[in-house]
Amino acid sequence: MPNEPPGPKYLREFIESLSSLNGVDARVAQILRDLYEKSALRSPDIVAALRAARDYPTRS
Amino acid sequence: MTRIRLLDVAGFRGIRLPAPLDFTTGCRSMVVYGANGQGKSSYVDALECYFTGKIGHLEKENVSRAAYRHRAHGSAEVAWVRVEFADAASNGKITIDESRRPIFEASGSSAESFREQARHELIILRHRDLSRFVDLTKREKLSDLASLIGVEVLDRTRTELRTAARQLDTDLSSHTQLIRDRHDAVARLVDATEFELDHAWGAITERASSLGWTEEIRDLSALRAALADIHVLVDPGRDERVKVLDEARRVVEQIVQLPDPTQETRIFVAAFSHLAADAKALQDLALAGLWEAGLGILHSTWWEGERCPLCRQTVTGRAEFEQGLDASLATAAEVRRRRDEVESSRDQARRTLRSTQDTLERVVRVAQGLGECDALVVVVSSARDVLKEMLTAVEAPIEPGRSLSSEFLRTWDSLWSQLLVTSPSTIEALTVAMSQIAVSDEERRRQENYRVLSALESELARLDSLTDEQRIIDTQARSLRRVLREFEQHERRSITSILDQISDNVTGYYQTLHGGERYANVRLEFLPDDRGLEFSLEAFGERVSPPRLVLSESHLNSLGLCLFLAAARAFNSEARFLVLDDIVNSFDAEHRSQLANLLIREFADYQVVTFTHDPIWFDILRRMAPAWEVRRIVGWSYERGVQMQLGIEEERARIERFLDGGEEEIGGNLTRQYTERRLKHLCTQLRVLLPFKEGYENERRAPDELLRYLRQHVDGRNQFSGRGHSVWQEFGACNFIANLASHDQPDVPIPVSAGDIRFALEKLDELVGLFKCQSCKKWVWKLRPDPSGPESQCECGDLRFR
Repeated sequence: MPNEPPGPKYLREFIESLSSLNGVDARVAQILRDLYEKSALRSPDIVAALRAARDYPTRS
Repeated sequence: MTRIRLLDVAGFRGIRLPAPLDFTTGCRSMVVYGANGQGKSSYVDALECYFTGKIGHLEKENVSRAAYRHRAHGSAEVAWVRVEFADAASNGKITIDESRRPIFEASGSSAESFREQARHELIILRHRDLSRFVDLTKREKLSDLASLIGVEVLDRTRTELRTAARQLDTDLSSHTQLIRDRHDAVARLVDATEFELDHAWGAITERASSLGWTEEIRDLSALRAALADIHVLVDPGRDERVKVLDEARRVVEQIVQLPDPTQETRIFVAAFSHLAADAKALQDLALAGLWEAGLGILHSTWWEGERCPLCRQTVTGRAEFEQGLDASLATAAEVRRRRDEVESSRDQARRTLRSTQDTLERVVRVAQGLGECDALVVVVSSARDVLKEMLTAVEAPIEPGRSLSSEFLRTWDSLWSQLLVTSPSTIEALTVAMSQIAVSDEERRRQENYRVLSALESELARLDSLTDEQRIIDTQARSLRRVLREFEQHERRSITSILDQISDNVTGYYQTLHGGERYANVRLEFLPDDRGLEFSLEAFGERVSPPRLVLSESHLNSLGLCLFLAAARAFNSEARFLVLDDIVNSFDAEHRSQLANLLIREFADYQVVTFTHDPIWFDILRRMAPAWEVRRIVGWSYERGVQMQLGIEEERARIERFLDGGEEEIGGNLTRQYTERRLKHLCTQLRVLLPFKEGYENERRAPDELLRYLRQHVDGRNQFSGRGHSVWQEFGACNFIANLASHDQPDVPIPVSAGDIRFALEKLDELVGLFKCQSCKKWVWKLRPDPSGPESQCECGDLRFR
């Protein structure tokens, strides 16, 4: 008998596999992992974290 | 995972007095039999309420929590459902007082957490819910199963990722639009129809070269270096000074265009002086009111003949007096007209003077400090002061003999003449000054080029930032879309894996119930496009979905039951017990046996609690599952609620109580039931053959019939010491006693006494005792086979049965 419901288990497996996923920016993967750890994998939090991570270098 | 040890219920639904179900210390499975309306489902409701705090089928309109309590329960009495489990730490109780709100009390340390987890598990299946899941829509099926197997977290995560990906796409398109706007702005600045970066740098280089910059500009840093150098060639402060001079010239020009503002003042002074000099006219004006009052008295009705109402003197010549008053009033009216003309000219003079004063104030404000205007400002300031005096003078009231000084007019005339001379010369000086510092066309062209280059630098810098940011957003958006695609595939694989796990068990259970029939390989499939689930199965050599296309109602019920059992086995993590309430209504006898087989074999590791009103299903389970506990509900009353069948000894003691109390009729009736029960037990254990009867009739066996076939059964057993015992005849002779006493013949006077009934019971005990070794206390049906021969005997050898 599984003690952990399968849904959360599959989600955790997916999050753990993010870093090895081709075509996914490492920083994006890290942000999603961090939000998952904080149980904050919600769209406003995802968008806010990604926007905050746009500290692009300014060319001059 | 745990099982139920005890379910104790009182005052709840149909159960009034405490009527516990004791599953023994082994927490065994149990079948509970009872006719319709005798309170079986109250136990199921009690368990549901214990775990969820409510009863789902009572959550309907116009059904309140009052229905949870037994109707006869007094307001001071508390209803309760107490559950003990194999793991005592999970024990707990709910109480429902008059407020009707179930209150949970944890008896064990983990009772609360166990209850919270178990409430989401599959524990109870009622007949009405058998095919409910099968009949749900695809989307409802997924939703229904989602919370049980936890895939709602996958669904929720997919929605969140999709929403975030859409938001990033929106970010990307809004940035693209910003970049497009910057492109258009740069194209406009370099006079191109559309943006082209090489062309823009070429145009920038060309414009910078017109300002003396000799190097090619191909990037922002080069442009900024050029601007830093070019900037010193132009003086943007000159434009400001030209603007100041130009404004001063415009306000001075207003003086030149002014008419002499004292013309109205002069008219006013003349009119004022003329009227003030006419003392008689002003006196007439002052007396006019008195005259009007006197004329009023003359015209009033207060006169008595020729006598004055004021002095009571006789007045002569009243007519002449009236004529005199009329003439005076006419003169006064003329004076009033002249006075109004003076006031009117005063208003006009006041307005003109104030307007001129404002103009002169503006000249002083704008021109002060400008060297070209110094002389003018002196004259204007003096003129402004004189105007102020004039404004004070024109406010003088009209009084006899009063005259206004015309001195200020003479001063004004002098200043006005100076203004008319000084203003044009000041305008000339300002014009010359402006022409001397005005930007030349060449300078204007250079300024324009500089402004365009500055604007281009700003636009290109912003374009650079936006392009960098867009690159990052694009990376994020593509990454998130990739994550979403991968997640959807992962979700599909995960749910399919879960469903495959369930489907394998559903198929296995369904085969157990319907093996050899034409349906096979039942699958529950995830339909990602519909965000739903659906069953399919093989029928007539092809896959069919949904099953309702080919399955009968009873087969759909079977499918629902199999899904419940499969899902419970797959996902229940706390409750190792299942409660099945009247689930066999649509099963025929053969399929009931197969269902019993499924429950007994496949769920041997579970505690199965089955409630039924069906005697055949009850009998099947009793025979096929001898290890299960068996309970019978033998009656229900409003006052007592459920009445559970008592144990043999409890039943005997109850009969004695009625006999002691002189209630032979009740005691006799109970004795008949008691006799039947004990003889049936003997027949069952000894596998006595009785003629088959149809349906419920098979259950109804009178004591005489049971005794007859029991005796036939033992007659051939030569080694059985009880075979020829006299009690057979003695019991046969007195068995009628209970029948006579019972309510089967209520109109017949009771011919038997308590002693007669007790005699019959003693003989019954004696008869039953024949089948038990009095030395080692072994029952006949538990004897060991004798290795030396085809007979059975007890360990001490006193009892044999062959």
